[in-house]
Amino acid sequence: MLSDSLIRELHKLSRVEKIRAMRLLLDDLAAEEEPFFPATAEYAVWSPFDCADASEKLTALLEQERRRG
Amino acid sequence: MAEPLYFSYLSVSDTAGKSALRPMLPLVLSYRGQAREAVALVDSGADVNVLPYLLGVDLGAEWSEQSTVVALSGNLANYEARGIILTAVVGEFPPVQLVFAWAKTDRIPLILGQNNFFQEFDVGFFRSQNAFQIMPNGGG
Repeated sequence: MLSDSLIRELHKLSRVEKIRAMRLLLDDLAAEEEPFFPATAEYAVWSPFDCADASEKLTALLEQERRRG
Repeated sequence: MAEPLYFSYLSVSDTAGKSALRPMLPLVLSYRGQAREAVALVDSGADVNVLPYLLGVDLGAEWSEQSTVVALSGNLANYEARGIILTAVVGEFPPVQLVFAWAKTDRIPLILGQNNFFQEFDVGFFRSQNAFQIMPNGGG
């Protein structure tokens, strides 16, 4: 429970201690939230991203086919 | 000028059994006279189109005939892939040639990526309305 005495104690803390207390409370709040991305879940990323070489080869294949036909 | 076609996002289950809405496009793929209906993930983050192995086999394609070997990334990095050209028809739009990385796995969806689906079609995503639109760009 947040009493007046606790608030007074918090105000007496140094700058570093206040930041630490704030971070502790923020971590508590984050842990209480329903996680948007549960840490235990697996997320497949099928997108072939960063495949410039494959993309160039496929483009060449398509151009070759178009020249032929 | 062609009018765009609108499609709804579809609920797709992942391997863990959880479902998510995804832009899945119905289309007809053909290869040397064989045609198959399919549903593909429209993936603007994919550099290339990707064809799952069995769908290619079902279309009558021969793995050993495809000589263009390509390397993929992400979850696909561990799978061998080869280039293959298919004809695709979306709705009433004219057929287009799409080049795919034919991956030797069936643990993937059919993927339509930048090369060359997004070069053939203009695509608009309206996720808040669970809809996306497709229109031939006419430029090829």
